[in-house]
Amino acid sequence: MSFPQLLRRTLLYMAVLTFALWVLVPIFFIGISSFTPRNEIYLWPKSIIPSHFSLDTMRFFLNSYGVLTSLLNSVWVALLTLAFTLAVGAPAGYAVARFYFRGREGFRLGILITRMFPTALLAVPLAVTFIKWGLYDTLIGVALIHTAMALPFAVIITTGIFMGVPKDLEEAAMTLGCSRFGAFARVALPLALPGLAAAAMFTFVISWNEVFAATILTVHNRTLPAHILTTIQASPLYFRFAGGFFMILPALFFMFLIRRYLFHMWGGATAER
Amino acid sequence: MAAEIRLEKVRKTFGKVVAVKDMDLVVEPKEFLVLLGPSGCGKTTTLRCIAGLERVDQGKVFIGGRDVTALAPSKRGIAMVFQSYAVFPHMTVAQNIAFGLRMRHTPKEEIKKAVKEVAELLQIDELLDRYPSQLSGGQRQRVAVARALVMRPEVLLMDEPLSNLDALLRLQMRAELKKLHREVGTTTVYVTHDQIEALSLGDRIAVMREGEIVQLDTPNEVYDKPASVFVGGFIGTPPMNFLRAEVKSTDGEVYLAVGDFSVEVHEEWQGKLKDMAGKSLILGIRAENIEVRSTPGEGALPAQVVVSEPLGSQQLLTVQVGSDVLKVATSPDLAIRPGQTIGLVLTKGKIRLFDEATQKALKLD
Amino acid sequence: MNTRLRQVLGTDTFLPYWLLLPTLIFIGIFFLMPLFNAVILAFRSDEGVFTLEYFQRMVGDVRFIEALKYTFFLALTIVPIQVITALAMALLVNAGFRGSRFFLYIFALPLGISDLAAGLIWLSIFTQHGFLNSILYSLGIIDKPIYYISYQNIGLTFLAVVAAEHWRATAIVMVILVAGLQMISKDYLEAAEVLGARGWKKIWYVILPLLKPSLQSALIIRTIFALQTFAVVLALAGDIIPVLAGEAYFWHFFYRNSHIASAYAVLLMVISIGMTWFYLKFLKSRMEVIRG
Repeated sequence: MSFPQLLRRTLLYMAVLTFALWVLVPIFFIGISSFTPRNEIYLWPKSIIPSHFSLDTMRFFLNSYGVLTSLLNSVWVALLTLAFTLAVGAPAGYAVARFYFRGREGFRLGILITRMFPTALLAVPLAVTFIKWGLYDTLIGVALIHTAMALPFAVIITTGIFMGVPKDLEEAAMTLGCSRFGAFARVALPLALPGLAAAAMFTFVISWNEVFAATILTVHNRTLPAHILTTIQASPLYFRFAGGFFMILPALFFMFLIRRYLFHMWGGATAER
Repeated sequence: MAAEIRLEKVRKTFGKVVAVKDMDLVVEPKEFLVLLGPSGCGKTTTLRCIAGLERVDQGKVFIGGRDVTALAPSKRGIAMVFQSYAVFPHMTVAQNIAFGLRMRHTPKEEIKKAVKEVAELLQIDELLDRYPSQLSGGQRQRVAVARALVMRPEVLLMDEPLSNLDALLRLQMRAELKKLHREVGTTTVYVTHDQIEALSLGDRIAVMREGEIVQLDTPNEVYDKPASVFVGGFIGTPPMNFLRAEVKSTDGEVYLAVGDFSVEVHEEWQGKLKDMAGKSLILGIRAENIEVRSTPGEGALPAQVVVSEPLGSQQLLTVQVGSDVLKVATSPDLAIRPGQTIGLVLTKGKIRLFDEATQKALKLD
Repeated sequence: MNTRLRQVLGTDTFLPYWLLLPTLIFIGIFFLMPLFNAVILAFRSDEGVFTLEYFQRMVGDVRFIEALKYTFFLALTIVPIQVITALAMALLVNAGFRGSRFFLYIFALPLGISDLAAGLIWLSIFTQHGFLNSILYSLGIIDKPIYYISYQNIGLTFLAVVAAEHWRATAIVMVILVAGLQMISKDYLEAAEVLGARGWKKIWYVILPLLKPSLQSALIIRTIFALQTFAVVLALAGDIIPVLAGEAYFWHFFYRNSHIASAYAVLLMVISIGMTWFYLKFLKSRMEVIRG
């Protein structure tokens, strides 16, 4: 390797490392904060690495009033959202991937546009409607609006996934004795399964992270983000840090699992435009 | 086991484009019929209409005398080999081959036996436990054929099954498919755009263009007696040569004028051509039906050599006759240089004549 | 094009519509109906009379002008620096060195982090005894903590919000741009090199113009979401910096007035549509200049 090449290589790695640190260091900081003894959070001068690591802060957070309940609520809402979203959105994704029909392009455009409207526009009037329907302050109510928010992604992602399963395979199954549905169930579905699992996790993360609608639509049955947001002004710092850390854990885990699909999804999302 | 296929006035449109135009076609039991044509001629759509993968707009499809027009593919007694092979990637070779029988609820023991038999027939019995990703293109192709044959279908449909193989493998598989068909004897419809494949495999060839069959004949007939300028130009390498000619008649002797030169015609045609004196025609002749003389002379059409290509077993000349360019096949031993003027003699019995306006062959026989 | 699609895809008459039906019904109930109701709520009093009262009260509120100002400020500051950062990151990982895939996943990590969590993460940095002050102290630069987040120092508070939001939402822009870069045919790049365009020239004259569609969608998506910035601000700066989405939240949540909350929501929608229209028109006309 010649000198200019070596120089360029070094600069390249330095730049990449800088960006990587920029992304990672704040996550590292909140991690440290969550395992710093509570009293050290307010010390001055404070060392960056605490005197010792302790579960004190985490324990306080998890034992705080409402946290465990809201945590469970969050999981339930995310699971419901995931189920609703796939049940409603995957068939539409399949239709767009497999069929030519009048209004196909219009549907694709329309579904994208729904994602462009502010959450407040949906959440505020739905709160009023949900009071009438008895869905206000229920987990299903929150899951329904999360489904509305995740649906465009689900349709776009599943369209891409089903497009990746050649139509020939299903047709071959049909010539070999399968019905339309049989061909889908025996051939397309097993092949689409990893992609659908990724879509499911992505939906889970969308719901897990959503705070505005969850706050507007609930009073007692809060999800974790809604609980943290509504108590934020009255909570000590260590509670907030532990809460922040706790919220990002599952999200980062799922994002890691589906990392290979991320580009699939967003690449697809923009290719449609 | 072999059934007749009959299409009656079958029509299929995609939006404004008519892919299959009111087609009538009968495929005899045990026949190997090739649908041949350039891309977009509707040959694959025709095949998919027979398979039931496309719903026809109008007309009827019969298989074995049964009207299957409204039936799903699974109910038609067909099996199909796809261009992409469509071998299921999440199943082993054995599972792929057994798939159709399992859908039919055939007893396990029978399935096992049938899979083994067909795998041996196609020489893939060593590969039964592999997944498609571990197979070569040629092996996948065999799996696709085995998967279709194991169903003992009344009708076997193949959509360009060899087009994704490399040249050598294609040659080998072509011979094998022919042998298989002789052994199994299933009525077969085979779609291809490769005329060599069509000539070598088909009992009959249906040449298609713009959704219509323009000629349905044995390979020899299609090759020697193309029904139109299009067929002559589409089939054969090199394609048929075409020259502008005029019917002339002097002293009761009818001949064709190509430029200043006159070409004799068959005695049998004389009578019919006499009435056409003065009419312009298109004369078609294949490269191998032109005899080359190293010097133009009595009775030979003078032509100038543009390019000479040695092709091993023969030598292909590109020559100019007036404003027309011809391809002529000759012996590789003949020493010919570009620029040289040579003489061409058209084999009398191999000349085809086409109407200038309709481009269709004249009925002279 | 349509004919091609028709041939490639199936043409079953009714099945696709049945498959779409659940999505269409869902969108009808949980998107179109609330959209309609939001407009009704914003313009109709509880007695059922058309009124501009809610908009007048919204505009007359002391925090309204501030909220409008900061919402625009935030979007106009964050989006450009995000696009530039994301472009740099995307070009770097697209350079295809050893381990570029690994770095790509690291760069994409914030995609999974919510706005609320991002706000709390950066709170641990910018708070009075937070990491930034600790680091500056241990380097000997300061000896008393700086108050980054306070009414006394709204400028710094604003920058803290920008830092947090920049950190959180750059990943999505980068992913869109990487996807766009991957769609650029290698032939173009090789042709460019053969013609002598290297380094910056290649990026400027070949890559950027080809990346325009991706840049455009990234800009639209990011601007629309930046206008809705809410939880980051709330977690990091409380109510020091008002924003429009936050005002909608406050009006609904604390003052229990869904009319005025809806008025804010409708205003946000109008601004979003306006910005999208602006981008489409502006970027399109630029495209035509290039073509013409």
